[in-house]
Amino acid sequence: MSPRQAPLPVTRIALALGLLGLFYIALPIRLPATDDDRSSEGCLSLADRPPLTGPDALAQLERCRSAVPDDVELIADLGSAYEAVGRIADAEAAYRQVVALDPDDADVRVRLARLLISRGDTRAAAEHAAAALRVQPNRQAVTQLIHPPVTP
Amino acid sequence: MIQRSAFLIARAVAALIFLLTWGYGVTTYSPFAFDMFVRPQLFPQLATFVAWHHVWFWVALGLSAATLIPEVMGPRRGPAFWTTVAYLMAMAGLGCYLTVTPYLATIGNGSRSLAVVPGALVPIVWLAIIDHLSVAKAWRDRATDDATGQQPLLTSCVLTGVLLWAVHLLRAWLVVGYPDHAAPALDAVWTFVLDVGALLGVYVVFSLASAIASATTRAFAWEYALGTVIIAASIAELFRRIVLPAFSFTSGDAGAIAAALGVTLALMWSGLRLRGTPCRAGGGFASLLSIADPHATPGRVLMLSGTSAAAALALSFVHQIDWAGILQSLIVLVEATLIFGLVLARQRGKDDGRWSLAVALTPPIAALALLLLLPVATTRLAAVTTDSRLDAAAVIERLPAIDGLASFTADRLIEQPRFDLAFYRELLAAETRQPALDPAVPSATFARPFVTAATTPPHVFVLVVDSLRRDYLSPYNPTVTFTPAIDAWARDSFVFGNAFTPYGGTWLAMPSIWTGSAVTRGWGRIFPRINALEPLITGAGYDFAINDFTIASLLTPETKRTFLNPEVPSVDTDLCENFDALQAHMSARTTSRPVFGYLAPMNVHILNTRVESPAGAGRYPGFYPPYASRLERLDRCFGTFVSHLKAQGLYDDSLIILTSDHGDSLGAEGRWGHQFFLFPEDIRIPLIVSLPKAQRLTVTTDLARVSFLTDLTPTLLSLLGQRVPDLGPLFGSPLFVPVDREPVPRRRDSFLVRSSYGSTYGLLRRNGRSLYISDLLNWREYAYDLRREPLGERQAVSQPMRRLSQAGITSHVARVDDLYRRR
Repeated sequence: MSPRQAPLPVTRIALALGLLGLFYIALPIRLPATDDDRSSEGCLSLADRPPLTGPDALAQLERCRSAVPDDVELIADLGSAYEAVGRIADAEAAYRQVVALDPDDADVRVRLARLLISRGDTRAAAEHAAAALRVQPNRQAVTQLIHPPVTP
Repeated sequence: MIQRSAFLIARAVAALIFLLTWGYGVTTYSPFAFDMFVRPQLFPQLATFVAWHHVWFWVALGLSAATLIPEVMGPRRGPAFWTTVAYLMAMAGLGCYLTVTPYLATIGNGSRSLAVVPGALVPIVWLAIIDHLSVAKAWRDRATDDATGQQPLLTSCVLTGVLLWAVHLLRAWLVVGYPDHAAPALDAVWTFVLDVGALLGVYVVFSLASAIASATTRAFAWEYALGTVIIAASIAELFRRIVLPAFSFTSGDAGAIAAALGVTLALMWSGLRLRGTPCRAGGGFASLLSIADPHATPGRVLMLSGTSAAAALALSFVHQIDWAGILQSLIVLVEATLIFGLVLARQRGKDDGRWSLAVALTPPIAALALLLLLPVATTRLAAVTTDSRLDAAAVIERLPAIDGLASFTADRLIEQPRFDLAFYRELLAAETRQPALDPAVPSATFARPFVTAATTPPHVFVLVVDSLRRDYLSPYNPTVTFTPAIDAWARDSFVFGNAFTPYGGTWLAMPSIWTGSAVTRGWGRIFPRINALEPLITGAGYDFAINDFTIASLLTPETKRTFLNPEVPSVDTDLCENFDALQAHMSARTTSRPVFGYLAPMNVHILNTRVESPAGAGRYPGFYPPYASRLERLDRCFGTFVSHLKAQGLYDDSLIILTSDHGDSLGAEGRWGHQFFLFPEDIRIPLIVSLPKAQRLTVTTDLARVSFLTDLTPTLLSLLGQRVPDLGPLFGSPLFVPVDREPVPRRRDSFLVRSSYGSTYGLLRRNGRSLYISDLLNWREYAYDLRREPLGERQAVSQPMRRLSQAGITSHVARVDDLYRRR
């Protein structure tokens, strides 16, 4: 359109209002979202709840382990669940993974130490107990793993 | 010229005094701001201003009266004369009243401060009315002038946008230092689109005003008046949406205060422009907005570069102490307005009177299209190149360090993906409901009478060093070499590696220590009934020494205390001086009662570290030298104090706690101070406890358990033989338990962290390893994996994490509301 004299003010007002309306409709702009991995849906919250129990617990924990592979609480629960059904080797592996992810988890170190003692590996158990004591100094439950009380 | 300059300086000083009075009234009227800034006398200069306010008022009146001499002495006895006389008489009367009864010094948080808020603006409005009346005749003479032409307006907007873009990029490159991990070409495109886009938005608004003015017979006057309305509305909206929420003003108050200020400042500006500008051709906008109209090119360049240089100087001055980026936004917007005015003034006389539909529509629509396309294209680019620097969200986060105007525009126009507006609105509504700044006393608290123990209580020294960062202390960071005394002491102490403040900022963090519980805004009104530490101090018969400006004034008057270094203002409190005073107090006393020392020094607060000399910067590689050097001195004093206790034979009977109320941001990603931040460096704190020798082997703890400031009082109660009930997740629990018991587990709990000062909430989960932050002020969210030392690693916020965390925050906020029965 070639330049010409300005139209009636009413037209210009309408145009400007129209533009403002367009801005109002188009804004704000929402940034495009990337696709989320939805496989962790439902598993993330497990760490915030009491440990799962019941017949389906083990299956659910195993499913979630692959969805949130570095969830310390979930793997610790899995270790306990394995222990409960007598899968000691799996329990030990789970506890070891927890300790690798979170070396300061003294409770899991104690569980692991007890498990190791039960299968006679007292040296490794003592190492985990010593590490637990650094986090929970003086705790009797830990010191007794290293120096069991003498029964009269 | 000199007369004009003197006039402007006199008016500016007078306006500044009236606006400072207004600012004090607003600050005092807000319970939050009063408790935070005024009561603890955080800024001693403010207290001095208030004490001498009546004198300042006379100075303002004298200066403004001097500018009104022409009205009084002039030959005409018109409306301007009578309005001036009325002003002088009314203000002189008010001055006499204020001299006899200094009002400002007597107001506290309450209705008396409400009178100051509008009252302080009255003289400014009155002067503006006089200014307008003085030039009324000139206005009438302009009745037939044209409005601003299409071409000059468009050219001015585009040119201003391009100029600001270029200046800001240059500033980022040459002065500030370009941010690390940037993508300069992409950043340049984004800032260009945002800067020019913002100015094209201005073009549409001014086109509308210009069209309305054209429909009248007095186009110049109407354009000028509509421009003034736009300025008033812009200032009001800026304050309503950005400034006042940062000071916890509720929506109704914020709207009224912002509207009054917007109208006042716009009228003041309009009046001053009318007095200074000979009305010439070119439309009302140019007359309103241009601060000067130099004709020669060197003068033009000088004005433009001077404005930008002044803005750069102001930005460099405020960036460390800015609150929510408010000052930086204001500076950038003032810079943009002034440059726009200067450019617009240069377009005078260049209007050929022609109008084109294409010129009216194409630039704004093109800008809008670019704004819409840019995020999509950028996200695609990031996906194709798998370069996270190219992600649109990453670009937006870099903007504040590159271009303040682009950042301001992006914050207004661009939302994060999957932004849950309902969540933010619900939380903000919960905050607005908080006129429950009058909370009720919870049914359960740790505040109960102290049951006298059989043994003599130990000496207790609680050192809450304001803004102390854990990663600047050797026990938490082996690369630190400047805190050897704390390091040595920590070796036979308990170092809690996973400690947090539940509140970013002193105002809520400090009472959370004393109550051992979650607190709410307005806590001061019920503090005596939820304060659990004071009954311990009095009940155990402690000789109580304190230096603190948050809590001390709210303690029960009957509680005997020694306030250490009372002559030192809050902001200057120094641990070394506190220790000297404490040692002097202990040496001079005649009683054998144990000592309870509570110190909250400000040695490493941002207000102090920002002015520290950078000398010796090379001594602290990897650390912020002003902070590290002050900490090194603090460490020496700490070592001396511990040595003193040992030399006096007191150390083995002492319980020492070293912690902080919050951390601090020291320039990481452009952040400074703690403000309303909940970033890892702000909420992770040091917590080191040394126990009396007799207790060291009788208790256990979990040094890796997530722990909070709220645990301190339950811990002290427990160690002093009191029974500490489990009051639920909003309360702390003892850090130490007998060796045959298991430390209270927390690995499966989630914890709310929130800002003391702004609308920012966070959720800590998984034993403090996972942090989600919702910043309601800026409508942003963040997630951190805190396993990686020292400050964790930023994570993308996934939708499951968002849902879980937002549900957790909502639930915790509701629990706190229930605790204080506010709903």
